[in-house]
Amino acid sequence: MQKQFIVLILLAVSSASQAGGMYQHPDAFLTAAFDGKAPKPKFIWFTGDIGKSATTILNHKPASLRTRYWLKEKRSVWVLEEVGKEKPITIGIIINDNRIEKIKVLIFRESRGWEIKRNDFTKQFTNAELSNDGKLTQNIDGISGATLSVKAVTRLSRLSLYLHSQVTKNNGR
Amino acid sequence: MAAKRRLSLRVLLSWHRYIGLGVAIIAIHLAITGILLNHTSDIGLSKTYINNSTILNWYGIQLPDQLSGFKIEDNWLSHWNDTIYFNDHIIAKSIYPLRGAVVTSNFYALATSEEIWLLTIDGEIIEKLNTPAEKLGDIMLIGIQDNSVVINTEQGNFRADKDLIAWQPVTKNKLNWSQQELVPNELSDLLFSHGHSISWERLLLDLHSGRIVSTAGTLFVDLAGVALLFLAITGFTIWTKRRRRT
Repeated sequence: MQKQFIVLILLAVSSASQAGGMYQHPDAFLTAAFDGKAPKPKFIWFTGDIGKSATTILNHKPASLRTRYWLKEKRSVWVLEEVGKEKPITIGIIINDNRIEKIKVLIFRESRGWEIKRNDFTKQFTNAELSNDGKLTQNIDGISGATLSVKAVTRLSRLSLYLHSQVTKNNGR
Repeated sequence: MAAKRRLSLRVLLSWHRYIGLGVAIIAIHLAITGILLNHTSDIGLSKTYINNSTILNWYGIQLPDQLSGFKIEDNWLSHWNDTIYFNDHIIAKSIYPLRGAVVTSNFYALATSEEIWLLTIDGEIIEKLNTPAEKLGDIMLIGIQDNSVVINTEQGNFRADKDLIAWQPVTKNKLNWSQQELVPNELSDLLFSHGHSISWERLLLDLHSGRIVSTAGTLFVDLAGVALLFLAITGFTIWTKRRRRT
């Protein structure tokens, strides 16, 4: 009984110690996404219809007037930020042919909800597309105690899919 | 058999009484904070911010005597309580310290230790840029030289290209760095009175959950919860046993 109690305490301490921090620098994510040969970044401005759609997806005005992206053929990389509860979470997203190839939590600054960095959570987004009504085509299971962080990641995944469709629509896509 | 049952009832009553007495204050505390939490929006506690310095100190927020910032043209950029302000408006949250701000031909550029933000002249964020901190180290200073943004980092001085993507080392020693100044009192007083995010709702929530005294408090409230559960079960058991006896 005593041993079980000690194990429980150790588990609680170890889970608390995993919270928050920079898991991967955005540059390192970008370098890895393009095997060290990242293209020059381009900008997309949140103005006009793009701004309106981004506001609808995020449920608020985007935090900046423009964002950078890196595009090579059908693949684009986005490093986006969204507030979970109080502080911004930085997410790296790779879109390939209008599907999510990979999502990674790069910087987590909130005190709770860090569980979203786990692979078994982010893997749920792999191959998700944007449906006609602007939702993800795949169901994303939430994480108890990390609801706001989960919602933030989901919003950013939808936003990146939408932005990808906008920046590639003139490429015969 | 009856004597044994009486003994077990007496033991149960005794435990029920002592645990009940022990947990009574916590139960009152949980009830009061719980009721208030249910109505925080109705009584405006979610939007009322604490100004009591003792409570703010408890949360690690200390109101400084004076606030430093950076003046660009007629505007002040300052950083307090993980928030960056453009005059009295919040631009965004930032856990990284503000290192300076400069005016370029097209925008304002602000540097934290990790990032560079491009701002419009109205203080709206155009874009947040991550500098290659892994290569250059933390930003210490930001300045302007020949219309280019320059930064001083742990690795030396660097000049940005026009898109602020590539950074080249600068050998020139004398560069014009953004200088920190004291923010006027009227502005700092205004920021201090509104500039933190500890609302009465947050305090109530932390009191209710025990989080106000970190993990120990949470565990204590958990234990109180278990004790209340014990009281409910023993209360029901005692009532059943007494009913049987009568």
